[in-house]
Amino acid sequence: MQKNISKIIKIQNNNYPYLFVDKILELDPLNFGIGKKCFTRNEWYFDGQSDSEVFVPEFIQIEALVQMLVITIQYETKYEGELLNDVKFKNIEFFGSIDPGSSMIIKSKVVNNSRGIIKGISEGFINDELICSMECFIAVISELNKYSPN
Amino acid sequence: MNKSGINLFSKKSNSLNFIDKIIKLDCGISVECIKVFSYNESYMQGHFHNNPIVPGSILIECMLQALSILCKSKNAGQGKILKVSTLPVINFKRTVIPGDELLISATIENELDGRITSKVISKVEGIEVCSGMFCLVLLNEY
Repeated sequence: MQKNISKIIKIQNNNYPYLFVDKILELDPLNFGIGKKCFTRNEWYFDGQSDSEVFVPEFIQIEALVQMLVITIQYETKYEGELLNDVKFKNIEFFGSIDPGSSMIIKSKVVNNSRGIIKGISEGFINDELICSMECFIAVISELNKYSPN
Repeated sequence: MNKSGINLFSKKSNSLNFIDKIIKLDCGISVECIKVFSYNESYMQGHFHNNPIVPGSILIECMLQALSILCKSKNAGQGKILKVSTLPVINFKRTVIPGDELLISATIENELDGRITSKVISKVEGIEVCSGMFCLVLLNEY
């Protein structure tokens, strides 16, 4: 089950120039998802780097991992189109640098979903090698408000 | 210290520079920096189109850049490069929107064999919005 960029734009709130998932390769809504991000030299975040040292900045890698998890949470679920907020990121690890021209495969898994706080794990792979990983806690604002004291 | 002073520490050019001003720098110990967010910044158009919010990953990059200024102030000219190793925990307490002025305070907690552990807290109008622990490594330049 592959989905392209036009479907991705429809189901979640991120847009150009802050959308870092190009393709959905596999997806089981609210369980797990596999996506792909191609890093090309033409993108805006490479402009700020010196020519001798061009690599994908760590914050872009983090955002790509979070966005694939968000797609797993929102694709054809009751949370589609909802506003989501970051609550906590844990154990973010980087195992190497990513050059322009690389394609990162992102695997995301929802671990827990309770009272509007969703915990998930995302991992990025380049050529089957783990390059970055993180745990993240995301809040579904409308769901969270149901359990907030008035 | 203004923007030209910051460029001495940072190799990044304008589109990726997320520190506007250094308020206080205690070399190798602590630093306080300011970043103001404007709706005109490119990433605001995509996050989100009708509801601009500063992305959590941009807040992490602001904190990393403040920390990088602090580490480089101590190790400048020693032929070292700084790499991010692990971010054990990052907490987000409040959303940051265009017009907010972010005050970033970074302190080095431990430095051993080129491994630096540090705590960074970001505040808007005195209220904590984001904080985290950062582990960096100093490597020899190739």
